[in-house]
Amino acid sequence: MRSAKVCIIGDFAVGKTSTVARFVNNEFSEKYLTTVGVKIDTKQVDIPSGSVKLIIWDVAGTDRLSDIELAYLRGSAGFILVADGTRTATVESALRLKADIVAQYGELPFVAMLNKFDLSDEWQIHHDELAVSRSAGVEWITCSAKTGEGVAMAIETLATSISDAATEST
Amino acid sequence: MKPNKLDELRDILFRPDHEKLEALRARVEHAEARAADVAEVLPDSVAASFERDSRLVGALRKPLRECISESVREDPEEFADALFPIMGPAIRRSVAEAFKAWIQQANQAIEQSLSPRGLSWRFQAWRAGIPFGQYVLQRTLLYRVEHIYLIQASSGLLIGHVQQGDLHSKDEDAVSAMFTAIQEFVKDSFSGDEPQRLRTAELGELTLWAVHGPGAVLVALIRGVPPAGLRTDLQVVLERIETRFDHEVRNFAGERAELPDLEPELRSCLRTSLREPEIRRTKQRFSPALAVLGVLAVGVIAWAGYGIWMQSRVARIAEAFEATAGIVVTRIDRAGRSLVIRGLRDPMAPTPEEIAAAEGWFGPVDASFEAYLSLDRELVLARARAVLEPPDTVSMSLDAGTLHLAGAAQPLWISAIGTAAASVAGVERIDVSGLHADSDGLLAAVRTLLEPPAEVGLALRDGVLEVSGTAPKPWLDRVLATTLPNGVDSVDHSSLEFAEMFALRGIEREANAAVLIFDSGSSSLAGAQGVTVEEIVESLVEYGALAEELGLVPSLTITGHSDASGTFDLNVALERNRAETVASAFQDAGVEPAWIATRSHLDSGVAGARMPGVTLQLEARSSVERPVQD
Ligand SMILES: Nc1nc2c(ncn2[C@@H]2O[C@H](COP(=O)(O)OP(=O)(O)O)[C@@H](O)[C@H]2O)c(=O)[nH]1
Ligand SMILES: [Mg+2]
Repeated sequence: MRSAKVCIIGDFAVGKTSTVARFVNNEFSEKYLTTVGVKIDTKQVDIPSGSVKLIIWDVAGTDRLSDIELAYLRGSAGFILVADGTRTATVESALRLKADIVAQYGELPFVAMLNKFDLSDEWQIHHDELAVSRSAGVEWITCSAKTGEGVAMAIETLATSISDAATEST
Repeated sequence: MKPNKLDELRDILFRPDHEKLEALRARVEHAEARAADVAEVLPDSVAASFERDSRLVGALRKPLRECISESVREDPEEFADALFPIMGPAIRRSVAEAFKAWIQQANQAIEQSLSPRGLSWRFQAWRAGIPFGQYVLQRTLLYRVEHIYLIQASSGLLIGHVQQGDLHSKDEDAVSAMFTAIQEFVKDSFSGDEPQRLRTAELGELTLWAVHGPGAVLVALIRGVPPAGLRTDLQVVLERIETRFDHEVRNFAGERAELPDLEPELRSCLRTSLREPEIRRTKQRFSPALAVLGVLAVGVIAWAGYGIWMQSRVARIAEAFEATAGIVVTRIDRAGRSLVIRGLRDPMAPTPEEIAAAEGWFGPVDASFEAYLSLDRELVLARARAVLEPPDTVSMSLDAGTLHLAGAAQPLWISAIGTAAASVAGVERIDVSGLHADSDGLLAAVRTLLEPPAEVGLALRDGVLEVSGTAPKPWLDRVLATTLPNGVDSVDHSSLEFAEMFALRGIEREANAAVLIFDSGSSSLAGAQGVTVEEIVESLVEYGALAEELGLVPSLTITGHSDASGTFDLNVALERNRAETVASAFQDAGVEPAWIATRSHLDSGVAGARMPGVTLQLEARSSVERPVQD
């Protein structure tokens, strides 16, 4: 089985840790997040072309990546971008984070999750913001770490693009 | 002569030379052509110069040195990578030489020493038949390499993993990634300009050793105290792997199946070193002389025993018959090859053949007995056992005509026992007070009595009722106050979790993951929240009730955070204000003020994110461990 390193990034409190917790086998205590600044979980994802074991790095970042957080991204096969639908600013910081990553590591497969869909009544996201995202090559998938809606689908999408990218390069 | 005639003449005389001269000038003046010329002769010139004398070496020495140091300065990484496969072995060889010399010296020093320990070890080593030096090593070393991880340096992806066969491990991919994360963290947090690498870590009984190469890290998890030489061995294996699988290691993209040849290399690192194995072997050495003595001794004893046995044979058989309950012997003797016996016999008693055989008589037996009913206790019990057919868990005893029964049995059997016992000759009364339903029956009775909730598991083991799963505390209180049926001696509820505790932990987990979001720079709550104050208050109130039920005291620490903009002092004030805002919102909504403490994230120095938000830390302590407040 192929294994692939994946980082989950986004502004504070957008639901990164909650999303991972909903999806994975817990391996290490949350305490690592506050002490080492990163927590690792794994998840085997079955996709049409086989199975991929994702090794997910939850980086305790905020709206900009520090050097060490950027270093944690080294060797990633892809990343998960998370924003909070109730806070427009988090969409902007997600785009900024993505630009930082691309500048450092080049284009990588990724998936963008617009979280807290269970609160969609309070969402502030407007069409123009989503249009900005789209022009930056980001299609948001709506999901909720609270209800689980959309989470598995988004992560399977990422696993598939990683697997496709790997097949292309060989 | 006319001048043009002269030109003509010169032309005739010098033309070929002139053309040559032109060509020569062209070659000298054009750098490119000159370079091509020199290139043609350069190798030969260099060779010739070398043959002749050492001037060329002298001339080249300085520029070459310049050249190398320049490129090292420019890109040391690349240089080190290129040199790694050569330098590793070279350095090791010279270190090994130095080490060997040192060991020899040490060896001599110890060999010549007359200390008691030195002598005793020498003696032991001689007995074991191994070199003294090796023995000393064995005395001092005892370790086992339990896991080997080969990790891609850049990504933390696990390229290969092997472990001792009898071990289980956590998800090795996660371990590998976490190792890399921690190493990255250490590198970032504690080292200056020079990149530091995690080489060793002690974790109680376990030692972690890491050796680093340009493309990969080899990590060994070792139990006990590994010898220094093991690190060298790990280094050698890593170098070999990086040479053999250079391409695969550098371009590893998570596909482990592509590297089957790697495993034997990694396996070679799984060493086990046991203390004194050789010595134990010599102790078990086989001694032929001892064996001969043993055989002789057995022969003498057997011969003597046989004689005695022959003489006492019939006498012992007679005694055995007389000692057997339910048998009365009137006559016993030997007639030729058979044994002749006459007397009375209870049908429950063993047969004459059985008794004789138990005494070693396998020849013919001529027995003739009259039937009778014995009132011997053993016989009555045997009769009762045959009639009542009690399960193995029931014990019986007879005391002055009363049959006592004790132990666990099926309820149906217990209810029928009275009538059945009346038909056993020799039993006048029956006592069933020691009987109780067997664990199945008993468990069914207990279940009806206690009405356990669906999440509770009940089991009976040796009279102990084991209660597990989850149940509300009042239920357990009721269980402990109930008189339980015969056969249940005590209740073990150590693996029972209170439903209240379960719910309590759930609320804790949720509250401790919550973030209340503030607008940047402001100490009023932002409009949109993942979890609202109202939702949290609702859980806190429930938490309070649960804690009370369990006799615990809740405590809630509210920590204010701030983002990276602004000065330290301003941020501390802002963080305090944010925590206070949340605290008063909670109190207004009815949360007990005594539970609540507030703090600033920056000021208290706890780890945590820089963000405009507030986090909670909710816990409950037993009132005894409540910290003394001043
Ligand atoms: N309503 C709602 N709240 C969420 C969701 N995901 C996360 N949260 C809440 O958002 C806050 C921050 O979540 P967390 O996972 O710690 O975010 P992180 O900082 O990105 O790791 C917590 O209070 C979560 O309970 C969601 O899908 N819906
Ligand atoms: Mg988090």
